[in-house]
Amino acid sequence: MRDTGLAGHFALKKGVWALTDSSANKQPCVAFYHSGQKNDAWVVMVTSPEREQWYQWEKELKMYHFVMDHFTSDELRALRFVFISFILFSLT
Amino acid sequence: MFRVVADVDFQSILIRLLQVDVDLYAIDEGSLPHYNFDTTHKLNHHHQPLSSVWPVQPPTSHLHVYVQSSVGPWNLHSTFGRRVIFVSFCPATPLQLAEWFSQVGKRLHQVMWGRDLDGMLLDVPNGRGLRYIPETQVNEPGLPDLGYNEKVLLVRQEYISAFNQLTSMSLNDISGGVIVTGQPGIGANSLLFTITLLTSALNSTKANPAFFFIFSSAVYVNVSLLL
Repeated sequence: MRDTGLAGHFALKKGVWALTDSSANKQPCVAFYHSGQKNDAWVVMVTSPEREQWYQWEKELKMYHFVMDHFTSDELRALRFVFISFILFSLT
Repeated sequence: MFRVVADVDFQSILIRLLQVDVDLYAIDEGSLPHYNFDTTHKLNHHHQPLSSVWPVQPPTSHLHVYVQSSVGPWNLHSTFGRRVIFVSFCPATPLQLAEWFSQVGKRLHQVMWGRDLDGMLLDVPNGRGLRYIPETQVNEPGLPDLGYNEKVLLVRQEYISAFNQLTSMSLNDISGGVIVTGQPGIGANSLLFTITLLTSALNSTKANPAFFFIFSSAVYVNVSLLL
């Protein structure tokens, strides 16, 4: 990590993954933005499908777009089991 | 293979800076684009003494904290003159976190680095190979401290697949990253924590310390890809 100039933003070294999410009212850290713009950090931004959440970042950082699959029926069953197990365990 | 590197010790930077004659101020992120960092620029109404907002009142947005001494150009690396440090803080977490940041990162490193992830995972009965991380194992590396709000973590097959694909994508120098989207409820945030665990667990050596920083609800991980 280093200072990138007068603006004082910390930039990340090449090869660093910057993991971040976004929500309706918050944008991820600008340090990530600047580092991604310079192809230093590799930003992994998890966000909702709404275009306004990610479009600007995708365009300016030349980001890929990756769409995760929804839960399979097996995974839904597994999720139900996991949470039921947790609740039962909590009660014991 | 991944390696987590300690590029900076946030706490030591603050201590080093605080040892010089400096004042700490906070500037709201919203006013940052309009701020001129010219050396002649004086503090304006956007700035508040850090002590007025931290730690008594956690900020409501990202804060950029800079350290200012009396003379010279803005330069973090300068021995004399003004020193600048920008740090984005988590808005939802109390900000007396210099030491805390360090501890969270060290704990995760100690628990996860080079660990056999299989030892953390439990099989889902009749789950066709699906596995999950139970509450005790979620708590042990301090995932709640990193912002993980669930009690358990089901490792979806999609996470492993996504991790592998993102790894391939990251090797392209032209790209600045990847947007991961999908239908609401697919557990995209859990993907970030799965990546965090995987990148730590895949290491075979405990030679390097790890430092993790938290920005908003995001986890900011220093990971170097060794080719």
